[in-house]
Amino acid sequence: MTFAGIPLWTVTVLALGSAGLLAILHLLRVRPRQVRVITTLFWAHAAERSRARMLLERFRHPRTYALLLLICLLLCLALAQPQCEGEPADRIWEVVVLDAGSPLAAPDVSSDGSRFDLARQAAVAEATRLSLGDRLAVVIADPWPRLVQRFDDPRPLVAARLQGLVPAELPAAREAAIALARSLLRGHQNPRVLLITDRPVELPSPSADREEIDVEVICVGGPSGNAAVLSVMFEPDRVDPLRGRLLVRVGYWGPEPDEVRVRVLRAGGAPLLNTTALLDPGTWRDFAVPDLPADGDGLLVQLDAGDGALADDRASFRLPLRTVIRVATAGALPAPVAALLENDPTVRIVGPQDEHEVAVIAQPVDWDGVGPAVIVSDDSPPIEAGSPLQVSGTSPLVRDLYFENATCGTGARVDTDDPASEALLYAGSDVLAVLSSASDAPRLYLGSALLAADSEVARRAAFAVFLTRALRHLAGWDETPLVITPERSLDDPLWAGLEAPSVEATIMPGSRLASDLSYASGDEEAAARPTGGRWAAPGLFEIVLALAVACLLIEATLHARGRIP
Amino acid sequence: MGMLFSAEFLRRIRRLRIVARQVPAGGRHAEHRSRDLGGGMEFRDFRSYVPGDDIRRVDWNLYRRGGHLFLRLFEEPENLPVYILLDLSDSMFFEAPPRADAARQMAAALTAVSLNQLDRIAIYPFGVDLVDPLAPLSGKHRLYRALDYLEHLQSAGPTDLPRALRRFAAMRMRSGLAVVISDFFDPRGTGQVIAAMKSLRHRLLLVQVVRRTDESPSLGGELRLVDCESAATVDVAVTPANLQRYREAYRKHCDELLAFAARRRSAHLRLDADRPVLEQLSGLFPEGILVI
Repeated sequence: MTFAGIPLWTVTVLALGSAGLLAILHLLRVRPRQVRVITTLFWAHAAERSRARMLLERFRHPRTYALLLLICLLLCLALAQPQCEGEPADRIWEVVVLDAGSPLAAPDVSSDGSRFDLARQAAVAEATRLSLGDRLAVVIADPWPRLVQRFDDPRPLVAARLQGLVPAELPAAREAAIALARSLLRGHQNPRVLLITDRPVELPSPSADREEIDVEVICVGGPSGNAAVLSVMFEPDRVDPLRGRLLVRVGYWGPEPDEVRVRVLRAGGAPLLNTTALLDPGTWRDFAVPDLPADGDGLLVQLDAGDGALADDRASFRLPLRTVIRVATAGALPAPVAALLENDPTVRIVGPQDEHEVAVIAQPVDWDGVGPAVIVSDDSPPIEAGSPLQVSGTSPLVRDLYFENATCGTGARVDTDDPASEALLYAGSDVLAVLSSASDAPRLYLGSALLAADSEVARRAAFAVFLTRALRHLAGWDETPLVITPERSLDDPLWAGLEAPSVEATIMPGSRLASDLSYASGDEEAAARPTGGRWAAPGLFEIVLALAVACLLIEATLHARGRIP
Repeated sequence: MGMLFSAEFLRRIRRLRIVARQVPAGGRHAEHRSRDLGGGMEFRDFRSYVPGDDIRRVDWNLYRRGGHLFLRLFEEPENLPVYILLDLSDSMFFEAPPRADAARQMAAALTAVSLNQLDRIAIYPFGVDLVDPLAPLSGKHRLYRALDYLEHLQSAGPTDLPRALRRFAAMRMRSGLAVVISDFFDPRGTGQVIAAMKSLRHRLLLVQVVRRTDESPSLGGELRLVDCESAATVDVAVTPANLQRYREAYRKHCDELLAFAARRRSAHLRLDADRPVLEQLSGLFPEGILVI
């Protein structure tokens, strides 16, 4: 006989401890003084009600002691799960390999939980399905395969032990886990390896000199492929910045190429895009919607595919809002500014009294208007001509602008003591362009040296870009490029931990390594496993436990009937 | 004469009398009123003369006034049969002095009173059953025989009061006064004792032999109480709460006996075994007469 649950010495210690405890209680029991009385008729009534409240009452009788000792010994023995040396011929030794890699963290389409939840339920179901005489071990297949349930461990612990597991953030080393399972089963009769995963695995061909144990696979979860909206981007048109095109990047991961239907929808209107494309696994494709007005409308990108994860199939966003900028001018505008305003298709010049978004003022005109304005300053001391222009600051207005030693002309600089202002352009120590954000109305101050007739700066394209940016900035245009990535646009909270997708990364949620892209199109037809319980003869554990319960019932019955105190 | 019945005891009980309101017919001539008409001194009624009547009882004055023959009828005084059921179980001999002493003295007193007034007395000791009864006696000269009988009574084992009473009821004796002298501690419970007493067709006199320790036992601690008759054990922690429950049970037992006696219009006497019997007889014989 062997003790599968706990070692023999532990059983012995437990039994001796129980016996000792009971013996102490028995010795410490209350020893009543014997008194002869004329009748016990009335005492019986008094003692009957008090006996039930006495803790040590049950230890007053040697028979009680013997019964309780027997019960404790049987329980200790049952805890040890004794097993006979001889093994039943039909006993199954099974190792369940539970895939806990990163793909299992994906939320399942058909249930509320993740695929790992389904895998865990399948493992518990398998533990329940096996008969009491069979032996079960569980190996967790994450990057570091390990044994979490031994053959000797009590079967009811499987559910509790699996409950605390979570999928790893890395793909599983399934082959190593299967190898571990096979090594555990070596030398046993009726061995069986059961892999619970979300996709089939291609195992290396068994070596000729060693007979390997077959692996049965249970696939959980819905479809294993996944299409996802990787990004959405609005590209303004170079000629007409009020319009642009929308680029939707869709990626696909799966066992084989799949058709993906992409729709771009505007609320209350016909689909802007409705197309179907065949995507290869591990690839992405951009779908463009041309000539869209930047009118601030809300759009929705919707994918239709046989998907394993629905959360990444929708992306909702809002287009940038761009309208014509009404510019009111005052004073004698320098020629470069006037030419720019006349040639910019996004600008319409209006009178000083008309409603406008931006005012362009050439001093010394006395202008006391409110709102955003570009003010050409001419009241400061002149600076020395020929100084090279330099770009300062980190403002988006001057980002990526290069003037290549362009020099300023003869004119004034900008003097401002506004602490909230940011110097953008300067020559030497003289500031020539300042963006002030002190009040609600931002203003751009330009020194006249920038726009003088002898200024090389005014003739550079970069200066035109600078002025255009400044005008759009003052008008409130959002010039930040519109790029919507799933982690930013989707409502699915499970997506929060996902990094920005890239060409190299898988788009399967929860997985981030390129290794996952190499999908193995191996055995997709996992062998259907027979289900249903199988009755086996009760083991010693069950017999001993039943004996203990029977003794407990006998003791309780004898006590209730008054045979023992 | 033994220790139980001293000369002083006998002298004092001679003054006591038992008066029955009426005794059933069929007894011998004695002192108690009965329904029988005969040769007594107490006039009861007239009836017409029929041939064969004793001519000495003809009322000649009535004949002279009316010319018809009438007979004068007189009450026939008869004796009262007294049956003493004496508990001789082990519990009556358990303590010192044993309750059986007081019980026998009580039985002796009743015997003496009955024999003095020419009644008939029979004593039925019992334990599990009736044992070795004293055959009915009458006549004053039989007193010493009865006392000698009582003096030599021994313990009769455990108690089965209901069985003994039913056996006595089955004997169908002439209706009289049945005196039950016992501690009434029967393991079957007070209810069964009362049920058995209901089967008796006699007038009842219940003499409950008690001790002060019956109600307030001087016990304490963890005890294994052993019944002196059945050797049954009861483990009990004599706590104030348990003691209170014991008292409640004992009082209920006494109350049930009292209630039964009241329903049967029977006399009930709590005879303290620790006090002289003569002192307590005054409670049973107010002004020296017990009217039943």
